[in-house]
Amino acid sequence: MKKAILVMLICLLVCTGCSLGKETSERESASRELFAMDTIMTLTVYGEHAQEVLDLAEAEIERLDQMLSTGNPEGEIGTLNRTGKVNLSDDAAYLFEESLKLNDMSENAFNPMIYPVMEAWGFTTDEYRVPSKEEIGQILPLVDLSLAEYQEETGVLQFRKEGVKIDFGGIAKGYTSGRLMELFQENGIEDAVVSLGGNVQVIGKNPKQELWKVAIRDPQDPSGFLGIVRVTDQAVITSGGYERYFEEDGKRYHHIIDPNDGFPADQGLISVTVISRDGTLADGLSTALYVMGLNRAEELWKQHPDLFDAVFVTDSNELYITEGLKECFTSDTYTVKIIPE
Amino acid sequence: MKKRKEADPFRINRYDIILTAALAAAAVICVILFAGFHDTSEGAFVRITVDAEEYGIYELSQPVQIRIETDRGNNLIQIRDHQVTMLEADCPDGYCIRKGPISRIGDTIVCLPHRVVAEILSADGHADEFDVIAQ
Ligand SMILES: [Zn+2]
Repeated sequence: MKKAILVMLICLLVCTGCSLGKETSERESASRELFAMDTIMTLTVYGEHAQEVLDLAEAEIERLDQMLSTGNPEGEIGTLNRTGKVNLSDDAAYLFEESLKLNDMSENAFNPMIYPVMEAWGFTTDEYRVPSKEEIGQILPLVDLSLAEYQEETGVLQFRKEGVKIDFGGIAKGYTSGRLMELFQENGIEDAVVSLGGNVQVIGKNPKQELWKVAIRDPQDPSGFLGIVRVTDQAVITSGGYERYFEEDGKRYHHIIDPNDGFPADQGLISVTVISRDGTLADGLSTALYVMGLNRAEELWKQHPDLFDAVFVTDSNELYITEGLKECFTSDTYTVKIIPE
Repeated sequence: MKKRKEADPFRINRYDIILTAALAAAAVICVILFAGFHDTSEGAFVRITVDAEEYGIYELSQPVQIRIETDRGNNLIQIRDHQVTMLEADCPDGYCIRKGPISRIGDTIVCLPHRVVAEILSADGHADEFDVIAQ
């Protein structure tokens, strides 16, 4: 009888000991969800003072949102679009210079001056309409980065033409997630994952001390994933026409507009995911590569294989990955074709 | 003499009782702590299965309505405010709708006639598959 009690107690002790050990071995962590930049963001960090670091992160997001939102007339970009002139902060100056690089790299597949065209399509107000070719033809000359004059010495950005508007929305979330990673590391956080409306960036390892596993949404199946990529210290950013679109007269119009002709990009891709250490680049390139189509995207990657990797899904349901992802990408739903360097 | 010695280890003395009480108390505290950390906390994902096949995993932070149409019938599941609700179902019993919203890890909504199950998962409850969704 007594033996039985002792055995039972030892079992209990061992069992609870295990669970206790598990609890104490887990590091401090905190998660937060917030609404900013017209989307839902989730931030999770592991390390000391996790809550305080998230407070800093939230303040930083708020600051950048106020600064970069086209909808905030008193913000930096709001002021610029309203008056045609503004003193750029360091953040906005960086975004402008990155935009020039991305625009050049992608042969105008990325252009932050596309805003007046987005307005014509109603994508800025959700009052969708299909503008005529003539109307687009009149607006398209405004989509030209040489109409924005930036003086590095004074920090002043000025438009050279009436009606010109700029929007860093195509890289703002990627820039923000990159800033958050810097902020986390400056404050002693080694492991973190953020999703800014589905734009993912990570540092360190997941709670199991493995690479972070990022599932990528399948453009053909809103419940499923096209595959999983295992990464550390990377941004994983997906663009697809399936994210936002409207239909008129049975035709579907999505929100990724080709700056070269002012109409929804139609180059045979339905989803592009860019994986890069640089969140700003990943964000800008995911739309640019979508606009460029597979062949030109492939060429661009071959010029810069160290800058980024990518996953493409074509409208004929083929999935391609760049060679750099060979070891870290898996898919249950597609046959994976590798683009060699 | 010998007999008494052999019988001794089987007799419960007061130290045994104290030890037992201490161990039992420790066990109870551990169980409470364990439950507090895990079973009753808010989930991060919901896994939906249809006829025991995985239909999809969704983030509770992303509001969405999921319509499931099978030969057995139709269900409409809603994710909103971090909660999962069976919004509509044309099943004969309607138990799944009456279940109301769920959000805690391990909670389920079951539509037995249609074999539709929604189960709340923790942030790492699916970790064998993935940590986060890019979309
Ligand atoms: Zn039901």
